Amino acid sequence: MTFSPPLSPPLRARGGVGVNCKKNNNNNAKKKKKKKKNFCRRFATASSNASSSSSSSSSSSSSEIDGTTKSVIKKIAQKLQSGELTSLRVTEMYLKRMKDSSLNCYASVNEEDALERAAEMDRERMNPERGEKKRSLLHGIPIAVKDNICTKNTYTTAGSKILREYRPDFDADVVKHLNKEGVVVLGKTNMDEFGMGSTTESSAYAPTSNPWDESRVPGGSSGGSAAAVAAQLCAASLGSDTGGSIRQPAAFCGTVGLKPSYGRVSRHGLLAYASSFDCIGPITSSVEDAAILMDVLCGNTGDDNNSNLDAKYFDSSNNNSSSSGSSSFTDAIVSKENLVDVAAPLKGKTFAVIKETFTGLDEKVSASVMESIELVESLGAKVHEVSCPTFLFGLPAYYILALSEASSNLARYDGIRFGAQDYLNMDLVDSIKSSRFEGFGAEVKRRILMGTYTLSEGYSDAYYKRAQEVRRLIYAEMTQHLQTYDGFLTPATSSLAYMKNENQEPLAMFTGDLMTVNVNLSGLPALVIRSKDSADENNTLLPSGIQIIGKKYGEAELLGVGHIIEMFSAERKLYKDAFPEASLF
Amino acid sequence: MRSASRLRLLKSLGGGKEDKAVGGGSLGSSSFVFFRRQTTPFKGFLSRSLRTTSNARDDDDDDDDVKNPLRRRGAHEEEGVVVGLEIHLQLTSLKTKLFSPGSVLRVDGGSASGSPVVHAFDRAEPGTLPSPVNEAAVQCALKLATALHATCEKVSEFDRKHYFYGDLPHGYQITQHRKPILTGGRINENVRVERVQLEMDTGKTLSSLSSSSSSEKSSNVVDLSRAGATLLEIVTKPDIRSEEHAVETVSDVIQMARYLEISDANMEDGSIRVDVNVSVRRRRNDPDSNDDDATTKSTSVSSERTEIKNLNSLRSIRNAIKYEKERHGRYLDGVVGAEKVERETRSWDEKLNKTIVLRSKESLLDYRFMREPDVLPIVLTDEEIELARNSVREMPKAALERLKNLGVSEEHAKFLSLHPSSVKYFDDIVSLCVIDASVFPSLSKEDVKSVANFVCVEIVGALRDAGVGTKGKPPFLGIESKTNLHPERVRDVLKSLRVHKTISGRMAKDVIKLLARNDSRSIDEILEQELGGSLIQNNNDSGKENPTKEKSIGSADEEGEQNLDATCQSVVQDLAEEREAIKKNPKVFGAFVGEVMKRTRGRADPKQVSATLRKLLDEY
Repeated sequence: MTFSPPLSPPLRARGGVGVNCKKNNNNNAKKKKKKKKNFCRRFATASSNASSSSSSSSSSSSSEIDGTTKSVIKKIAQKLQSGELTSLRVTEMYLKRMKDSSLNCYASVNEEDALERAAEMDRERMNPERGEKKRSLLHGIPIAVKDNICTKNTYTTAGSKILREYRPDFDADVVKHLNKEGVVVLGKTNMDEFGMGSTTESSAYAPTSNPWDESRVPGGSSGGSAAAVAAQLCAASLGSDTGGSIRQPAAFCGTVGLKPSYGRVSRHGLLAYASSFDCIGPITSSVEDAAILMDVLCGNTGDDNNSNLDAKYFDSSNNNSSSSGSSSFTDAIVSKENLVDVAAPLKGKTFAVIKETFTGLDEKVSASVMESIELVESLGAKVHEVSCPTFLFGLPAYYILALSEASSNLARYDGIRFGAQDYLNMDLVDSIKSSRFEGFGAEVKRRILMGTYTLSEGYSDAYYKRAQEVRRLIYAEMTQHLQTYDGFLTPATSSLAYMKNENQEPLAMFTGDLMTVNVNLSGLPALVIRSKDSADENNTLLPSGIQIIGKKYGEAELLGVGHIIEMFSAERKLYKDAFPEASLF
Repeated sequence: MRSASRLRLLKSLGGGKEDKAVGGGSLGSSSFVFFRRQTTPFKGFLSRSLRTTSNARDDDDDDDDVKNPLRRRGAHEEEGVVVGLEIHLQLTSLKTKLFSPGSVLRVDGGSASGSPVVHAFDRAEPGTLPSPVNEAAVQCALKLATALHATCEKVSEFDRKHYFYGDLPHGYQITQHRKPILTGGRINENVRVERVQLEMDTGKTLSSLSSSSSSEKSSNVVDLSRAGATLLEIVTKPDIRSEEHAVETVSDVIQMARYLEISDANMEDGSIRVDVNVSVRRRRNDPDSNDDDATTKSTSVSSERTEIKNLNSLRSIRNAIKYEKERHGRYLDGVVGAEKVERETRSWDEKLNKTIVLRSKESLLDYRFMREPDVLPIVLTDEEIELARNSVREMPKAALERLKNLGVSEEHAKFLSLHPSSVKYFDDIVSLCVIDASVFPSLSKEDVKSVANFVCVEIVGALRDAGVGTKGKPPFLGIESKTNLHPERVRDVLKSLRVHKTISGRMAKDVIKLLARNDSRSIDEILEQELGGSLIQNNNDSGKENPTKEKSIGSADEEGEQNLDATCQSVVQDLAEEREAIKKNPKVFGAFVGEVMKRTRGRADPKQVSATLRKLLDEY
């Protein structure tokens, strides 16, 4: 088996990503200079912004809120602290926007609860006795949670009819963590049924639209979470990522999405799709917001022993040192004025570009990613091209393993104990059959059947066990490269956001996950940030994303790098209906 | 054995399929092809007939010939029934379940740990995850390893076994299919163990609770309180050759489990359940022998293995095997009208006295085993294995031998060795008598025999008389809390009977009967108040010194009294918890008395002890 995927034109035009840079030092230096010039011109507005605001914020301690931040959470927190806004007011604004929005980002919203909670947080903040206490940045901030993450006594349907009536009696660990910080959970965001899909069209309820172009999908399965953040219908949100479900919608919607290392964040309370892949992570409008959320999500509840279990699953040898989340993710976020070397903040870093990711890549996405790669180089990092021969094996291996696990995990939905119990008045077998036939959507049924097939006797050797082997190979290859490089730079998706109803062919839909599944197979963390927008045929600007894949448990470093790239990137287009109170935010 | 045979099957099957399905580089260049290239019709894999669930037939070197139900064997093999067992022990000694903090349900219906019996995980609530494997359950397995002389695997893993049923909330059972915790070993001389695996129990289907309410359609109710509890499944090799042999083997396991204190192993409570695998071998002269080997005229044939599930009494095990043996025999012998024997799962119908088909060959389940991704492998160190080995007490066979060597009659030795609590009770009495050298100056075999007699006949009789204990339960379990027959008192009675000769055998019986009814008076008091005084006082014919002086060492002289005071004081001090408890429950007083008696090695006068203790406790 040989691989000869053609280098995409832009990569060639630049004369290779890494090789040429090393070839001629003189040439290289010249290039760099030129690029830098370019960079300055292009980002003139951004840097002037920075300089003007840096004067306004005299103290630059990291815990202080400075004016340059893109962090929505920090901006709101600042207004809450100063008394300009109340949590109740912010929550009301989001709820009102939600009502006016036609995107259908939310599966369920409990307005009363959210307002009550916001008012409670306000009282807590106003209380003079407790006023002195150092309060979390997230205190009183409205956040949306994907509908497959358990929230106590509120609907948690995972976008499925079979869980129509399901209200769990416990909070997921991550929700517990958020609540402890004083977060206001706004509502549950729409998603592909049980996370199975990449468009949010397989939701049993109604599909969600892409905020930048409502005739397009927001991606999936965390489409509701990503669209809600992009359209400013919440301050930030939680998604889940099994094969790209945080990163792909984040790219389609132009937000930041972080898939943490497998095992970094407790899965307790996440409705399982594929247990050895599932991760909960933040979808936010800035890298800094993602870091703020990660600080909270990684906590250990103590009453559940599973937080560290996943970590051990992958490599039991060294999980103690690395997974114990004592280090703060926000510490990795360094503001511009605190950078040691503003001219080359990424100096000393080396990134790898995977040759195979450019095979069959959409031209616009390719151009957008190339621009980001150039930016990374201009910031002082070295970028080399590497080949990962196992890369293309990832997709089939992922689908075999994920669907096998899904067929197992979804076996519990028999309509007997929880959810919609519509068929209890029959004998057992008929009841289970009817519940599952009526309760699951077409995509879920297809995946259960495929998973059942790949696990069945006589076939599991050929499919399931082989796929496990492939998984090991991919893990080995990626971790080996990561001994040399600080991370991989890849496109987050192979195309721009799909048109609604575009992909009816299930296997074609699977190919869309090409860029993301290898990260889940290897359990590594990956951050998606918005790269240059591209105009489609109708001249609508659509976002796309670049994915940075980091070392196991290297989320902090990833967020640090992401933040730098974000700071030095051009200003991106704002959402068309951005907050009228934008001055506040 | 299960996995071995499966693997073999898969190997022979998989080779060709692998190439067809994903070979030829299809993985790389055209990644999805193999989803579409589905050569076998869909139905094919749902009801496959190739499954080997278990063991009765899997001798390591024979080939599974699925199509031919009559399988040829070497001529050397003996005739008769071949049985393998799958014995499921529910670990009733545990407080919580295998993978959840849900409490184990006690036989009396209470919660063993005090927490709710059904945890969200046991209901398979979405979003719940298994807790790390219950350490105590692993310890039980290691203890069993010592008894079975099995190998403790350093690394064992969990798998999911899938099927739909009302009593299986997850839609799969977490078990150890590929890498069980124990392998090898034997239950008794003739029966080898294939493997022992840890697994989750299912719920319990209660039949038609609503049959009383006539309006409703009859429905089944599933009780989930057992779901998630820990089972140790012992799979034997097909070494058993008769129904009696099978019953004996199960009895051995019951005894073992009780000695190890890992399970009550009561068939009627369901804490031990047995599946049996039966096939029958016949030697026959083969008229249409295809092979030209004239020397082997006689070959042996064997019927397909039948699995009989969930046998819940020794009698049904015996009868079910007997029934199957005859059914298979009739078929092999070509009896006209004999039912065809196929590889299938059956159940035993107690009322009809026959087995009935549960799942036919066509509908045998494909369990779609998959590694459990939410549970880590169990990794054991040599130290842990060694530690568990050292914690294991004497096993039933050893106890039986020891008791017999001590002088206990065969009958009583068997009776006592049935349950470890009986052996302990007997041992305690004997050792108390030995410590108090006056009872048995030199412990002879006759002495031991008489003590055993006293325990097995008089005390058991008195317990029955008093209505203490339940039928089928070990007779001396919890005797200290239910009666006043703790070993010290029994020693005193024996002493009065044999040394002081203050009572007759007849009177001893009466004393024991009263003690069995929780009479807390001293033996002297009972003698005085109930039996008209001691023999010595009545007859007054004894020329010996007055034995009452010796009876309660420590009560007579000043020094002894001080000693007793000191002992009582320290006991009151030490038993802080009981000191609290006695405020609410006066019965706790017994614990103090017991402790003092223990520390004085039973020599103190209980009456005096009581008085001293009361005084001390009042002061507290």
